[in-house]
Amino acid sequence: MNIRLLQLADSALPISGYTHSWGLEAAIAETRVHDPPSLEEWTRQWLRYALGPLEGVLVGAACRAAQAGDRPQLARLNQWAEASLVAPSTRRASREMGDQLLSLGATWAWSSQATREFELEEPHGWHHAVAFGFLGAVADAPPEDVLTAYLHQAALGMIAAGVRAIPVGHTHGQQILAYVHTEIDSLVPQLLDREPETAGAGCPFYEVLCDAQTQLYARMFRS
Amino acid sequence: MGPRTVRIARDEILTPPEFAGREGTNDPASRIGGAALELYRDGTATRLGYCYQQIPLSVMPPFQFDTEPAALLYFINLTAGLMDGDAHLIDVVARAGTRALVTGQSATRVHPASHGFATQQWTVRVEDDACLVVLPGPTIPFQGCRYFQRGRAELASTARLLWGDIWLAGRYDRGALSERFAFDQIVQDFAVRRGEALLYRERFSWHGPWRPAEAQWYFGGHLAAGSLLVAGPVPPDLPAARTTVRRAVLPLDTGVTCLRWCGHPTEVTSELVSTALSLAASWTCGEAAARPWFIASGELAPNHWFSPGD
Repeated sequence: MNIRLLQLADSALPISGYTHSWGLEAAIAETRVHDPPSLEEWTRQWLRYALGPLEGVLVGAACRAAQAGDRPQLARLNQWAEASLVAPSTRRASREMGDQLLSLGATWAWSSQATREFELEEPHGWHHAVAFGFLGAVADAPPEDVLTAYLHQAALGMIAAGVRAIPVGHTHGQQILAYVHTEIDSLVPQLLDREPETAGAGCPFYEVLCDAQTQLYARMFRS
Repeated sequence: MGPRTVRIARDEILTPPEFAGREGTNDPASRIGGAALELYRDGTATRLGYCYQQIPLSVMPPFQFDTEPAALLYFINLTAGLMDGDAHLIDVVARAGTRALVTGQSATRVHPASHGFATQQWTVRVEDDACLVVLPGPTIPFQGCRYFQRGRAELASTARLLWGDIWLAGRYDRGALSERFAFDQIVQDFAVRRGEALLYRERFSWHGPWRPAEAQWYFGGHLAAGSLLVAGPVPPDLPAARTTVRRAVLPLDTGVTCLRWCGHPTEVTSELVSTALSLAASWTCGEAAARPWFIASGELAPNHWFSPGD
């Protein structure tokens, strides 16, 4: 077990993940998500059609690029994230979480030197998927484990948002997470095999929901 | 790139990783065609410069109307749509100061694929102070089709571009025979750059046929989705979308804006086209005097795919 990777994927990391719902809040407002089964279905679809094909592919590619010392490729992957995440709320969430993760990494003994060197070239604007892949490589974890950890922490973040907003009991939340493990297990080999150039997700209605979330009369979340 | 002197050949057609191995299995009846052309400014008019065309794609030279500030250029596909293995390569250069709408003559029907895939691959270069609107037309994916649409746009520092894609569910309004989301796979690979800067990137691979839950996720239960890339200013008081259509206005930090619509095909088409042509008019004629390019013209018969509905 890679204990560094456990820390990287800890849901308690202070990188502001708890302030985001990644569009879920609008889906709840429109009663598309309203109970544990619909939260589970939403989370599965988000992983399979939105997060996995874009950020998931970027995580694996960033991890491999960092292992190979390929800084230009890391910058290219980050540029793709910036130009592909069209919903401002989720794009900013991704950038904030990436930057905050790197700031944290700069304070950890096992990652401080590598992170500071990494940030010297471009100190800000790193997307979460790229930062996570980079730190996963610094943690000396294989790309499949880094991707699994990334998808798991993302699923947990989404479910935790649902637990608070629907609301759903914590026990139900953990049950949903356990059910979603099968989704993560099946996604990881598919996403790892993909060429980095194929990173991207075309989910127009999901993006409409992300935009609608920012216009809700009362909001719990920033995305 | 200058005038094209050799035929477009199959080895110029790019294959996405998703369709690797399928390029050699295309139907022998499939057709390779396309166009390479230049638009240039002549006084206040936009005219056609060099132009290479290879059937099944044909170019209808720019229409010029006295009352319109822009030229209208049609690509006409002489077949019934894109068949398995058909590939169109389209290269457009909009020289400095040009104003034009480049579009297809109708919706693009993508027919079922047996072993290969069909593709349209665009390269667009827009020079300074030019304003180019590219509306390829709605895409209708038939049951079992495989389609790869690729677009690359390079913009000079003051160039403006509007690019609209409309994806329809398939053949419908045929009762039980309606084909909805019954395609095999659609791959989109579109990127816009200004100099070295990547402004926008849309890359997806839709695997069909979609179950109702997937159609809900992607299109929100609607039968059409539209996407308009706007490389130019978007006024804060953009008219509201009609209430039966879902719309999002999504500004990127790269300086471009992406608009998405989900709704009925007729309404999505109308919303996207009127938004694109209104923005183009506001950029080229000034916001106060602006009426949309072409669709408010009395000189264009109201029977084009982008004509406003009733």
